[in-house]
Amino acid sequence: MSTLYLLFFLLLIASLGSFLMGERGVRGRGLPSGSEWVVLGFVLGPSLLGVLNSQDLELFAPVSAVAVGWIALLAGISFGTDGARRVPLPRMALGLLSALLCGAVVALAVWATLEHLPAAGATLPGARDRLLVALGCGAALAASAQQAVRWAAVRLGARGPLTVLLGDLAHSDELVPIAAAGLVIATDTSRGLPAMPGLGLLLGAGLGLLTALLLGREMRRSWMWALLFGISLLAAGVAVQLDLSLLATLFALGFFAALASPLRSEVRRIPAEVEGTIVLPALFIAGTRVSLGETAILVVVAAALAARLLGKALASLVPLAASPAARRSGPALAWALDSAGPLNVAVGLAFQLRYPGPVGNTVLAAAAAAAVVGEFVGPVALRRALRRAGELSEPAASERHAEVAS
Amino acid sequence: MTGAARAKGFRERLAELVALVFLSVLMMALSRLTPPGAQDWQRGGRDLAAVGFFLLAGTLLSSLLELVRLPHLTGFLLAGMLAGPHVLAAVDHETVSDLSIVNSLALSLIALAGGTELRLAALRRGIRSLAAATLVQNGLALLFVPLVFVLARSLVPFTQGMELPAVFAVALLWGVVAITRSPSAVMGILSQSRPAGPLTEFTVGFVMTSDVVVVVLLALLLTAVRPVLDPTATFSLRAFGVLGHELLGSVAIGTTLGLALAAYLRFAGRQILVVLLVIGLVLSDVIAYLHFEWLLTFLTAGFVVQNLSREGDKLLHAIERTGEVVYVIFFATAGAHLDLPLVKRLWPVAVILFAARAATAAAGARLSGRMAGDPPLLRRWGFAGLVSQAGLALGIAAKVANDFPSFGAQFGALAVAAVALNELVGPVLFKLSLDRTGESGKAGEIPADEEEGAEAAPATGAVLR
Repeated sequence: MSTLYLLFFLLLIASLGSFLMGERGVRGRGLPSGSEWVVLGFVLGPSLLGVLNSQDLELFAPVSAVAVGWIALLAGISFGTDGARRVPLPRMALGLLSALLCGAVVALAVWATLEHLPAAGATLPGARDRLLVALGCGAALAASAQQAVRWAAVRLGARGPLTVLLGDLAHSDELVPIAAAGLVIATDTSRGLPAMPGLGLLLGAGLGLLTALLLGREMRRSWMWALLFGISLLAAGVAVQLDLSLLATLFALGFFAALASPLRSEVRRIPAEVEGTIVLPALFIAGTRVSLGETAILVVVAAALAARLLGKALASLVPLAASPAARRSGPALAWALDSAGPLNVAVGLAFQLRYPGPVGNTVLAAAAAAAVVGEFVGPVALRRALRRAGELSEPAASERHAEVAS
Repeated sequence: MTGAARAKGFRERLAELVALVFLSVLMMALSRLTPPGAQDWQRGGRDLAAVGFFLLAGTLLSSLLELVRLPHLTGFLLAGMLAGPHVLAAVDHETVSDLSIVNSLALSLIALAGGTELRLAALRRGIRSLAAATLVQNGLALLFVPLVFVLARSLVPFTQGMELPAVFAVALLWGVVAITRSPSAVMGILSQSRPAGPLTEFTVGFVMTSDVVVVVLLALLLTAVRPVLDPTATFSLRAFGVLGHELLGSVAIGTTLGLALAAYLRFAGRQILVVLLVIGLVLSDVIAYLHFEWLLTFLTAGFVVQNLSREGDKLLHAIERTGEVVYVIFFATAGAHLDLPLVKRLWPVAVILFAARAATAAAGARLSGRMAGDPPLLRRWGFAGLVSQAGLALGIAAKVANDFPSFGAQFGALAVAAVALNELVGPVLFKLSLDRTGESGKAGEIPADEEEGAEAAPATGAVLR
């Protein structure tokens, strides 16, 4: 009956997800990045309580693949836009540069840890595996959770140019982890299939254009759903079968479907309706698959987290240099975008599905830990930065006490 | 967003055709790349691609078939048959059997929707018609179809060498197969045509309640013919005790579920889709595990929601929304399941038995209509929704195969061939009858669902403006 339990949990979480990530929920309940669901999955999973066992989780591997794919699809559909507003190109470049910087710092730190700390490199003796872990951690920890900025705007009522700037950066840095993970997976030939870099993007772009073509100007809801759902499943299945990057394929699919469709606002709105239904179960599944049993993993995760803090601090210099609004917030901006959310965890999960064993476990553990740590660091720093920039009102004394206590 | 469909132009149809061909070629190429016995990770990917492909191919083909006024359901079935292992082999046997997981979800939704469609007021209005039709249709089918079976026994390979009483016994079992109907086909057509009127009310009422009649008659006839077909068997009434337990238990659980569902819809009313998934994927397994009839359970639950609360329409609309996607996959998978080489081999006898069943249904509609004083349109077209057959017929064939191994497998093969014909012709006939009686489209479009609309979290920019 354990499979039924898992299914039931997932459906329950999907239900809660829709509630929590809807407007009412954002205003009232749940952590900004939803990392509590990663923790819940970890607690109930085989690593801790064992309510759900490893065999059942393997049965749900296709569901995990769909969840990863949909997170990438949603990222692709909304890439470079914040609602109906397009993110200006210079800001997109800033966002990409920040993520690239942070990812590179993390990858280098993890590589150095694996090479120079025997305790960390014990389970990963091969150079290829070490490189994979370094690149995987770099990809998984590069981006920031856009949900955190949305949370600040919706729940805390932040208003002003810095809020918009941070929202823009968070809405345009997703390309870095997806491209990095895509490149790593597409060039890997360890499963006996030839390396086909770019094929995932090509497939996704082709299917995205096909989606736009078929959607035409047909406004019927069932038609749109059947096409979006059918094509995304087909794309995910083909990507898995040909050992292409699921993330890159689905991201390209979403991006091109939204770009080419005359109904782009509808295309963007419909998947967003199910965001919570998809995202929280995905975080839960990721949590169940996290394994922290080995010291080596813990050491690498600690190094990756420290490097992410450093990387985010360095990356914050980019907006500091470019925007007067950012300069007003001062050093508090360093970790304002430290929140890691669904996309970071999805990259970790994609690695774990593609590289079961020490490589995938380490990358997923790092992504999950970043989501949890980011939940403590990111929102606090973000709130402080926004207050210093005058975009968030000062809390009353009682609120300050509550904040300190929390 | 509007739910209204508009007429499509030539370019849109052409785009659909090109997309269908392109996707079929893609799937065929993929199936060559990953032969049967592929590794687990490839198999998972293959299943995902197949679900997506069935959904797309079914949707596109049904849209194209609108040009010749064929029902969407036929498009779904044809898409599955064409893509399945026997024609283009874009989806192989292993994948088709992996996809059977969608069956319990689809059938649960169908039973729930069927129960919700049973309105007490309409049942009261049509009680004479339903009672007469139940008596006449089942009585005629149990007399006439077995008779044709016996007369055509020279064409039935597995009856060769059987004594005449044994042939009669097998023919009676075939009679039970013949009285099964297809709630799924009826609901599939209803979700497309959105009809309202006496024919719709009669068909839904008859088809949904017929499952109970079939289950009871099967237990009765199995008990009666077992000593004839199996010399070691003895006459036992124990089966009726088990059946009574199953039926009463199912109704009791269904009533409880219906009340709980009505309370949820009344006081929470959100995320009905997820509740339906829990019912279809989790609860159906639990009920089967407890040895209850989950079809009857969900039928009862739907009936209770419709008739003991004010939430029936809300539930029906939610099921229709979910069904729009689930039915495509379900029927396309059913199409792919059809063993076409077997149909080709057994087609002469399958056609005879199909014709005998359809003729019996048509004659039964006229006779029962006259007895109940039905309007002429109902007398003429009342049989059209009763021709389709699907899962229950095959389930009975499987039960026969299990209970009588000496001929059961071939009995099952013949059932597959006959069901294939009924499955293809029945929906076309039912849609035609709804169009001809003018009932199509009278129920109106599904209203926009408040709870599912505009739930997306707002964008930062949107909040700031």
